[in-house]
Amino acid sequence: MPPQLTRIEVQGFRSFGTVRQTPDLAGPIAVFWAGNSQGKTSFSEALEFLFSGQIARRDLLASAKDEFTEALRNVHMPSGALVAVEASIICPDGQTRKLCRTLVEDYRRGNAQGCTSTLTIDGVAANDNQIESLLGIRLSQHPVRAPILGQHNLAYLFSASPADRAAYFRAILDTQDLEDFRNDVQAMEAALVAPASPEMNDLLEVELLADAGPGRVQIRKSPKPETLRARLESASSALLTSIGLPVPKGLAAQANAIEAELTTRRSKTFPVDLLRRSAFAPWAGDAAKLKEAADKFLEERQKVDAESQRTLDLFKAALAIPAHPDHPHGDDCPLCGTVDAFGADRVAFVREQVRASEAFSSASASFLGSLRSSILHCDTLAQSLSKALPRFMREQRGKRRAAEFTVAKIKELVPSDGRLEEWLSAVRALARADRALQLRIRAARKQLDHAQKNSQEWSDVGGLIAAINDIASAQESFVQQLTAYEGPARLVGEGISATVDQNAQTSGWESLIRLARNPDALWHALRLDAAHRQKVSDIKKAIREIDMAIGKVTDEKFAELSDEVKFWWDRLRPEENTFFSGVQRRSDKARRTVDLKAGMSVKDDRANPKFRDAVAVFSQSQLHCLGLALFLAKAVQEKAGFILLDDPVLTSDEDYRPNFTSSVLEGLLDKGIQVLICTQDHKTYKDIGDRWLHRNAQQFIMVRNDAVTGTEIRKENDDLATMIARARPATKSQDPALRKDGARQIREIIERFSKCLLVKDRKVKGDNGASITQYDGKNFGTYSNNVYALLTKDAADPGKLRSGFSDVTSGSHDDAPPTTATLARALGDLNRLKKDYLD
Amino acid sequence: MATSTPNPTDSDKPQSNDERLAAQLAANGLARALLAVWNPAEPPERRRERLQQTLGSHNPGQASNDAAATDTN
Repeated sequence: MPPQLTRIEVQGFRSFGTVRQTPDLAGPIAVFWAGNSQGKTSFSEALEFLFSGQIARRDLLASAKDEFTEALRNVHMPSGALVAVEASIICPDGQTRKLCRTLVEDYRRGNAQGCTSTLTIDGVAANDNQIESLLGIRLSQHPVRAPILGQHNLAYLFSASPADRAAYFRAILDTQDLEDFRNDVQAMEAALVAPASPEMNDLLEVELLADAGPGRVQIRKSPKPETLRARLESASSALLTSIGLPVPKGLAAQANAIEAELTTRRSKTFPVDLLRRSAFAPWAGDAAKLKEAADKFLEERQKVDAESQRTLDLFKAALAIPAHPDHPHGDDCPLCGTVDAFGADRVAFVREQVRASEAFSSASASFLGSLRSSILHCDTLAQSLSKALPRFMREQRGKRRAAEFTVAKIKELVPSDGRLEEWLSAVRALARADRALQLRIRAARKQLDHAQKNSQEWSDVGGLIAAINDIASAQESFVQQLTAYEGPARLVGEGISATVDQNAQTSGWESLIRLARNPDALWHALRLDAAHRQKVSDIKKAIREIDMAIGKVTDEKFAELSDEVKFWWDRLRPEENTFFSGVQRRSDKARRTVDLKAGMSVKDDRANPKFRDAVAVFSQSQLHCLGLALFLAKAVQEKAGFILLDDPVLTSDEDYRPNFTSSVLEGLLDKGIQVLICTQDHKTYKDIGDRWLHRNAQQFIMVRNDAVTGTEIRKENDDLATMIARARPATKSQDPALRKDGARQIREIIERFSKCLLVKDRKVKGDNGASITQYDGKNFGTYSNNVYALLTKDAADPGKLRSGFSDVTSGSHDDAPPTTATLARALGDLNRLKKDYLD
Repeated sequence: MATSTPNPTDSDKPQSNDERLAAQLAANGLARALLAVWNPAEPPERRRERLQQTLGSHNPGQASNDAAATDTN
């Protein structure tokens, strides 16, 4: 079951004031009557605000957004007063839930985003998505989101831009998912990136190289690698022949021949070679290992004194002497003959000296080896550093100038797009980093040399390792600058080569050389490129097919929508020979343009109609009916459970009003749609109430007697209130006839008030059978004294009633009707008496 | 679409958008294959991933050959 409303509550919203209005909607149809400026539009916009958080009128008047500043809060209420709209809703799951939106910040000047509000469902904070997920109320496309048809949005489609109109119908047709699918497929095409390939760039250059012969453009179409190689060879041969050089056999040989000629020609124009440089081989030494060797060396050296080292051979010889069996306490010294001098203690001492000296020797060898290795790494690094710089940085200035390698010359060759300045900046930074690294290398080399030459006295491990670490940090900085140099250098190099090649008529040669030297890479690149092109082609084809298919689906759905619109159109304006024909795409290929078509026939049976755009040929009345029919068709398509129609039939369309109150409402109720209607036409109000009484039609009137209290919504059975509200316009009229009628109405109000008061008094006294109908046919004079006697709350009240009756009674018979002031006073007194004695 | 469920009681006339669209697309074409894996309920990245996979594996030539073989048979 679609969602339906059982109660609406409005407070503080536009014409609604401090007193909360709570009309109960106990049925599928409710009609609200209100005179001008009594709150009809405020009521429909209150519901719009409840469901969408905004009012559509502001969005439809896009150029006047600022004029809606402070438009939602009742202007007579204090700024902090509550502005809220609530609805009790029977949801599709059978549960009744209460949706409430409270205004937080009204529309502000310069704030295009609109007002802000909070939303709750059954008192719990909620978001707008839950209106659909929890309550089952599906909102439409912006700007007319809620199922509420106001005067301002009825004509929206006729004034909307083509794109807005298409979006509106796409929302009705519910084809956004198809658009999403199409967009996802199209996004895939945009996301396909052609494989980056230097070979394909080279091929493009070669294809522009006319001297490479006409077959060059066939290279990319080669069906197999052998063909590709043959076509490259053909292009190379053609180029060599065109420049008058012999054509060697084989692709590689031809590439070499072209390169030799290219180098020659380039060097005649500009010393391109000076831009070349070699790869940088960074320091490969190991500072930690060097430090370890140095520490070990110093440790062992400390254990062994110089004297021990000098007598090491002697100690070794002594240890080689075999022990004498006749000297148990030790041998005599072999050098001086001291008796028993070479005993066990002495032997142990000598052995320890020998062991320490050997460890020292080993540590010394290791350390010196590390020093030599580090020196070698230093020298290698210095050489690599030199070669890593572009050649022009290693040449002396005089030689550079002699070769015409100058900034002025380069400036002539490269485009003036800032690349030269960027390159010069990178060159300066690279030069600074080079000098810094050279200094570190020299400093470290000095330390290493010193340690190597003075190892017996040397002990500055910290200084040595710091020097090595300095190399590492300077080297890191150099590598950074070298990397930063690469980009600008490539751009300058390309700029120079392009100009030089152009001057030397060698454009495309280098590309041909590269391709000739590696045809396999080109073959691979061509395969990748073909696969990419195939994918792009497949997607484009798929998108074309999807577009066609979506168009056909849209046509199907438009036809169904057209049937629904026709259904309502024919109920509103049956048997007219100018009629709504259909809503459709402008053409088979149109995706963004939707037309509303009218059929025009000279015959009553609509035979042989001619078709035109409805917007152009329909009268205002017909467009109004079309807007209503479109809205109703949309409500049906979107399965709206309820709709609110604000004066759906123009006052001038008297002929079609009965069609609306009968067959249109019948159609809506048959489809299970709850209908709320606001109207200022009392005849429509009464007709709906009478005709749909059997469907429990609810009737309400809206009156706005006090600006702060605001619009009041009363049930129709409050006849007296209805009579007062209906009389109010006549009391203000300058038209004597209308005022005379107003006087008559006020007299009826006095009689009605008096009868109600008498019945009320009798009921209070226990007469439950008392009824107004018992006074039918009796005039005021017969019961006026009884009424005066009941007006006891204020001594002036009987006089007010008597005076009022006198004023309007004479007015209904004399030629001169009562003045507006007289009528207003009488009506005001009656309104107060009603409140004091009956409400 | 991946989540579509044909209505068994109304097999003559497709009702849902994806069924209507599928009926308009060539049976062995890429568009139909893409539609078959596209699921609006999935996050956009996952949807695009499925489309990419289908594009990568789709072989229209093979589909044509298969169709031709079927015709021959």
